Amino acid sequence: MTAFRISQRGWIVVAALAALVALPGYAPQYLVHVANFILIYTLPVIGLGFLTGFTGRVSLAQGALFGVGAYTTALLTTKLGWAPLATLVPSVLMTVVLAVALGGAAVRLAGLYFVMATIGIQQIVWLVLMNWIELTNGPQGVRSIPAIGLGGYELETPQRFFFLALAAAGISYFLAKRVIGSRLGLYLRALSDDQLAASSVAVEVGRAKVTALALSAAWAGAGGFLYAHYVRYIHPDMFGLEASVLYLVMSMFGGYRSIAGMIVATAILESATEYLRPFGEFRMIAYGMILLLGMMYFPKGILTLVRRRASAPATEKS
Amino acid sequence: MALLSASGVSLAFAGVRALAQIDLQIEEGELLGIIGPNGSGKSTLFNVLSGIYRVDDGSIVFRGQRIEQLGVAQIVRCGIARTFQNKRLFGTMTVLENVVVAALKGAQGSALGDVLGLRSAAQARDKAVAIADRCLALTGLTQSRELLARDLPYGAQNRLELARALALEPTLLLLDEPAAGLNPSERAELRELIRRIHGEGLTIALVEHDVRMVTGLCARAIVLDHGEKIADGASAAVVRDPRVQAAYFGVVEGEEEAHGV
Repeated sequence: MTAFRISQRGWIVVAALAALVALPGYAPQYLVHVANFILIYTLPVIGLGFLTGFTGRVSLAQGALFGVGAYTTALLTTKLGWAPLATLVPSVLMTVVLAVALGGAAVRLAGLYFVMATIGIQQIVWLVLMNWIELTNGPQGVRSIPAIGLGGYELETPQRFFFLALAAAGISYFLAKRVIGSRLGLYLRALSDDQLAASSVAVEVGRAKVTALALSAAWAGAGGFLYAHYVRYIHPDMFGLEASVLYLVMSMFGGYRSIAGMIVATAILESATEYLRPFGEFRMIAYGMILLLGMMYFPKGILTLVRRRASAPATEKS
Repeated sequence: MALLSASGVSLAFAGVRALAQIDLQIEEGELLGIIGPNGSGKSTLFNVLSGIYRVDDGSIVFRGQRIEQLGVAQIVRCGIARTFQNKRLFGTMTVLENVVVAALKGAQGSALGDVLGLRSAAQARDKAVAIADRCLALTGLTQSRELLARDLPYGAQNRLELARALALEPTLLLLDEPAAGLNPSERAELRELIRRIHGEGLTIALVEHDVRMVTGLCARAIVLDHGEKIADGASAAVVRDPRVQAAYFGVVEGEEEAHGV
């Protein structure tokens, strides 16, 4: 029975992956476009999950960190003429260094203080992007960001970019699973359960938390890199507090400590923002209703719906 | 030389004295009882020894090293492990994971190695799991290995605290009221377990409210009252000391006969 169940589930996963890979082949361009955003956003969302789900630290600066990654690559390619792919590592590094420099001390504080500190970081980054005009072009944003070229093949269209985004999301998912399964992942879960008990079993909690922050920033930076080369025009307002709130909601809506849940939540909420456009000014109200109902009926995340069904027969037996 | 030697340890919270000039020696291989009425400073003393509180004054030397200024995780790595009176387990983690975290002893150098799947990282992990399994077997928790810690019955949570501390492979183990909240049969089991661990050569300091437990297990005991050490010696003799009687049993008659049983 269980073997059948697993294989059935395996088939669903395989079928879903096949449908996903073939998406540009049959889906309208608009759908591929939305899918690209979903795949890109899974990076900052999963990154934030390291902090929120696994470390118990809520951050409202992920939008800004995503922006740091996007601006780093945008400026290196447009102003210094770097090849897009060459800026991936600098973008990630810049985001990590900035996050640790600004938030490294705060992440050691109790939860609420850290939230407040991250709102501060969010605002500082936004203000710098907006006002350091010589560097960032300020409110004009950065235009004409080149598309990523892979061996002379420019990923200009949503269809072409899709495979890069899918690969990036896949690698990010795989690496995130490894991080969570590692010793560090164990330490983070321990300290989010009980910080004093974690120190009492020799976990250096401060160091573990800073590492979680750095990882979270690395994922945000990589996401920002992809985003800049996909939309090819960036503006400080894309990386404001609203974006941070959105990523936070996505990382918590999917399920407690579930990376797959975070991806599903990103897909649902990002599609919702797109497909609710016909509602016009009522869009955010409809969006809010989805969130509210989701939190009411699935307080532990929307993936509990799937899990509950899967485990129901097992509990009946016992 | 004593394994641990504290001298003149003092601590006050906002002017309220919690520990006053405590001198304490713990000899290698002994099982020391620490008793005293509620609020006498027993747990505070443990919190000082494990680095949770910093002393205002005095020194603590463990295996020839000053430790009174070290942090909690550093002291654990020196070889002092502890349990908590109000169980502090990692509730959302499995029983095995709770103990594996401890068995890793904070090793972190190769977090990246874990992610990349390096062999050295896998070996460290396997070793930690082996230590953890041994501690779970010792405390009778092997069956509950995959359960979440928060789903364990109270008595088993108690043993998990102990298993977790043992997985750190300490030189000195501090047990903070391990029998609190247990029923008589669980108490007897715990007593046997402590005796067995001690028999394997581990030095233990046991804070306990239950005097019978201490006189039954410990050759030597110290008594704290209002943050002062008021007696130190053979446990059977210590509990008969008039000052101890006044401080500890003054209110409750009948305990006096009970401790002899």
